[in-house]
Amino acid sequence: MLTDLLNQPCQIIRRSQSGEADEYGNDVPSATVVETVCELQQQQRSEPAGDAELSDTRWLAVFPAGTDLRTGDSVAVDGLAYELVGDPWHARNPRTHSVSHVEATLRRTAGSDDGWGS
Amino acid sequence: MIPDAEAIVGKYLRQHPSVRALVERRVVSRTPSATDLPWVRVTAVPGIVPAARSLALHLIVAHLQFDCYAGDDRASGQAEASGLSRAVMEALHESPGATTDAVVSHVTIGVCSRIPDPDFEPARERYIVTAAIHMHA
Repeated sequence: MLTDLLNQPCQIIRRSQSGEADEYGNDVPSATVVETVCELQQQQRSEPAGDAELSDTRWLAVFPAGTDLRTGDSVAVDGLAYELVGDPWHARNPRTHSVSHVEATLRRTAGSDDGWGS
Repeated sequence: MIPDAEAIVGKYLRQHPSVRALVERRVVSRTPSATDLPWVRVTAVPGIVPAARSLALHLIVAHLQFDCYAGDDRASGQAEASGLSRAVMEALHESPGATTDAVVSHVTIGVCSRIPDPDFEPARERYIVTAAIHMHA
């Protein structure tokens, strides 16, 4: 079953408008944390050209059906933060006529000292 | 301390009746999370330049760009963005002496260009206003 394979603990950090503004007029978002599970798989890794050792990675993240996820959210897995890229896809199974899972593209940019295992 | 032009001009526009009537408080320095209603984005482009005749770092010329966005109603988008850009230009023209956060001595409106933003699908109607604002603390 797919739900058995979604066993990586993670946190969805939901950013929403707080109604408070900074000195430039921008809303200072409030954040709420939702605990859930996912499966995270790396799709692409690169370093931008330049003199900095900066890692840029893209990931496929799979969440249980019904997970509320938006493009403005971020996801934390094992203490590392990933930003959502675009709206997630609530994948509908045409055989069962129901949503089987939620897929999202995540992106993480970090310096070499911010990476996995550091 | 030289004034923070983006913060001061943004605040002035948020409080100006003509601009506030169109965008309420949505004069910001980055694209808001809700883009269904019009907004103005203020950016220091090409940037802040100390006035050549200023012996101390006191008088600046703030070259600012005002991206005036329409809301998501495509049918009225161009008119909405156009009206917003004209309200911003008039407000800027009235700004000398009108704010207490800095002394604005002179404003020169640069250009007002219609450049829809292709980052949106369909492209969002947008007029870009530039201005040079002379100010000191």
